[in-house]
Amino acid sequence: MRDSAITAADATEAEALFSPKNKRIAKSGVWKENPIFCQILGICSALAVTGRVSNAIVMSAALIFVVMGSNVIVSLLRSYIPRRTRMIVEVTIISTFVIMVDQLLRAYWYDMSKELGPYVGLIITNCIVMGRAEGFALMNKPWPSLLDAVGNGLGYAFVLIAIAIPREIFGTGSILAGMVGEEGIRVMPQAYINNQIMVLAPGAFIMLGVLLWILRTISPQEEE
Amino acid sequence: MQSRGNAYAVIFTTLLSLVCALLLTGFKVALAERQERNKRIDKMKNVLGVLKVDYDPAAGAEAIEAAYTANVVSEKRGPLEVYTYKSASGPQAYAFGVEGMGLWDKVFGLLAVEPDLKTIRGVRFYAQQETPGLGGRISEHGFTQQFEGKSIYGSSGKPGIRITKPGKASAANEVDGITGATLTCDGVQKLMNKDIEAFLAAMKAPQTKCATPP
Repeated sequence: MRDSAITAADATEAEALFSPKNKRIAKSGVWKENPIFCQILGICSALAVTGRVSNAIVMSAALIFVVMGSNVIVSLLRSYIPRRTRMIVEVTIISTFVIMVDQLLRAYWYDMSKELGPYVGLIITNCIVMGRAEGFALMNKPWPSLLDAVGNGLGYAFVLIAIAIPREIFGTGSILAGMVGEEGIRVMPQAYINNQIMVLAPGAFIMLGVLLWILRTISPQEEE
Repeated sequence: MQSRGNAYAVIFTTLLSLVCALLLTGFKVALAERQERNKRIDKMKNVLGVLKVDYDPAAGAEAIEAAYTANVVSEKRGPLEVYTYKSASGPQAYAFGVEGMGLWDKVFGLLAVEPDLKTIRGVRFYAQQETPGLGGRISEHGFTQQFEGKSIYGSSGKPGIRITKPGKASAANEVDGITGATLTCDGVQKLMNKDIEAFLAAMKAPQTKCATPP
């Protein structure tokens, strides 16, 4: 498992080995260097908003928007950002995008905004966003930075939705509550008793562990 | 990245912050009205729901506002805001806000009573910060539905509902609590009773507008 403290350096190392093909940059974030299950970044929100698939989808979309915006802006400004205050600058840019998303949700999808609560605002603290800005956008051109953002964002989305699906089905008996009507589509039979653990935080940890296990079995990664 | 010296760093960072702040302010100003409206409509939906007004919850904002203005009158009686489900044949129901401390933070809800001021028509908790899956379940339909038809008066004749241990509710003013959410339920019981008393007092008190001249 990679410690998140050394991940930024690792990411730069790894990208130096790839020939700078943009496709690889985008794809790497989705699978080979999936931020959550390879780099163990951004878990907190992954656990909090995966109770319902619709929450996971909207949260992922919000994160992708933020990381795209911040990667592109940071990359555009990379020759001008003063080294000494670069973290402050990065956080300022990231916060701006996060607040924009939060305000947009409150204006155009109020129910979802209530559902996600403080977690949209907490995207600022999500290591993936800062990690990509610091670890990639600062040294690369805008277009590869955008692709890197999309790749990592999709990797995050993949894990979130993969955790949310069993959590919602076993925890509430339905799926897509919030997107397909308030209650979603009933999947389990009427006699099914909701599994409480799936609804609570431990259920998220368990599902993350199970998912990591399955994915690592399919595609064993080298431990570094 | 350049290392151009402290003055540059300060100026750049300050300018960037200013630009971002201006951008966000403009954004917020443009969206503020929509957001306020969303909050108002949400409140209306809660009031309409607890009063059991017949309306389509999936309808658009205008339809909900129309349903609200047509059916609900809200007035301040004492410290409480009382919502009356008015109709041609007189008030169909009354609703008032209930709020107080749950386990972690304030819980906000609405309690609706029948015109007899004894039977509960419905309960809703629309804002709370209780433990998800445990205390948080007070917002669930399964919990709030229990209150419908219950009396706010106990067997002793004094007003007050009771939230008992799960499975133990028997009297007309008792409902089952939630397993693992004892403290939340205790808080909810307290806050509901506090506001039930305030409501009963407010309804007994003479109206500020007198129908008959003094």
